[in-house]
Amino acid sequence: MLDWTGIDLTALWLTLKVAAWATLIALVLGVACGHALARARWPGRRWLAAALTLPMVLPPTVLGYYLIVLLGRNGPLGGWLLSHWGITLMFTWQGAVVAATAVAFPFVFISARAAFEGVDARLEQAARVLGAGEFKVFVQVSLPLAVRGIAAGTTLAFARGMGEFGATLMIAGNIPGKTQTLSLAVHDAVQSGNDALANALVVLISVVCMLALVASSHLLNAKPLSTATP
Amino acid sequence: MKISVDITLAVGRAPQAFSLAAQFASHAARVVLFGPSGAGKSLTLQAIAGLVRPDAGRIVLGERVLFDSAAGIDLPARARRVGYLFQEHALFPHLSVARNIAFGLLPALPWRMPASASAKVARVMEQLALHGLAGRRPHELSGGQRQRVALARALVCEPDVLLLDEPFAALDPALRASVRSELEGIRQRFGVPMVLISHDLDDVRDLADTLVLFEPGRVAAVAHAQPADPGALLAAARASIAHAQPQPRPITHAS
Repeated sequence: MLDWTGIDLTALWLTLKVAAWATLIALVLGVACGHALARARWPGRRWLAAALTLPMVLPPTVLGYYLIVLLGRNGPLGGWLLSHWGITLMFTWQGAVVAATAVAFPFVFISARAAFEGVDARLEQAARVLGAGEFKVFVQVSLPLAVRGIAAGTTLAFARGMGEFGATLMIAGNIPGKTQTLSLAVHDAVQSGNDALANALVVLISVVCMLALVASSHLLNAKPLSTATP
Repeated sequence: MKISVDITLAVGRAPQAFSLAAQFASHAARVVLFGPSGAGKSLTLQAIAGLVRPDAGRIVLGERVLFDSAAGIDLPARARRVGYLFQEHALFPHLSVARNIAFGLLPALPWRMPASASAKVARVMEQLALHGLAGRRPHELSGGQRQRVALARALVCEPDVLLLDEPFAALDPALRASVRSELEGIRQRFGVPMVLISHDLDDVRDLADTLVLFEPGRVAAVAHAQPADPGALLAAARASIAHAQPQPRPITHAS
């Protein structure tokens, strides 16, 4: 039924590496965008928020196509990378990181934005009256009070990044040992009729994602600090 | 201290729009802003602190111009050197009492509290009867302790003025008299003037050297205490309540 001996540890290691990098980048970008939009009141903020959430709901193939257009040899970013630095992201594990980052980002962005919106604005005002500049308000008040929501979103982002398939396939391909992540390996195992290997991979991925979801709900259900005092 | 405020300010959109024209000046150490809820007292206090921006006008504290629309001056809140006591105290729930009090003394990225800050915090905690509470979190404190922590947090920064938004409203009425005299004692010890919001006549009787009477959206009158007639301010406050009673007021959402 299960064939643990056939599991290619390279795929597991690559999956974790790609997901970890993608989560880290999504964390930085998601917190920055979530904070910027949490207190925004200017027109157009809804459109920007929708655009930033789009990778979550777009078909992965559409997202992958966008990334190819952007990062391909003739794309604006891909062409620049190639002509100035001589590098390309197509069919590399770094390309897989880009794909996973794009799908993981909205999870951090949405939860960070909600978490920053949930911070009592009077606490930020109190900090300013006490002489704090905006950077100090962010690192000492807003961020610590929003950290649980951000952590919960980040866990989901990691799980989503681990499971990324469609956009990864389009931009990084499916090269065993180089860009073949676990979800691509499952696809190959099924296609080649290796059910025992597919079963083992599926169980492995399910367990890791289950753990991430439980961790995320723990973080969200913990008593929020900002309501601990009236 | 001299404080002078002359501002106009509009907030919100119809049908909840509220506009305020507030003008008063005082050399007194204790100014009480008195009037019904929704008259614009809090908005005035927030404008002095730099938390809301008036549409036009001028705010001067001592020799410093905090805001002057004509001259293009608008000091950010962090540079105004005012102490502000929020109605619900707004203590940082994730920080200990000591770290709350030290907040204004620390840089943005503190690895540890500098010794000079620790000494100041310890001194102010002693003066405000907060010893033994350094490691507590705000939610573990009583209402009176929370207020003293908020006061300590403001006073340790040596502000030019203390702004207090209904400091006794959240307290049990039986406690108010003692907390009121405690606050006045602390204020005198630190030698800092204050502007206090209230709609309680007892605050006017005990704490007002200058009384600023608010009607919805404007300052109706300013009265200064006269040594010859100690009951004058209280009488003026009573008269303003009586005057306001007959007409029903429109509901406003700013306070």
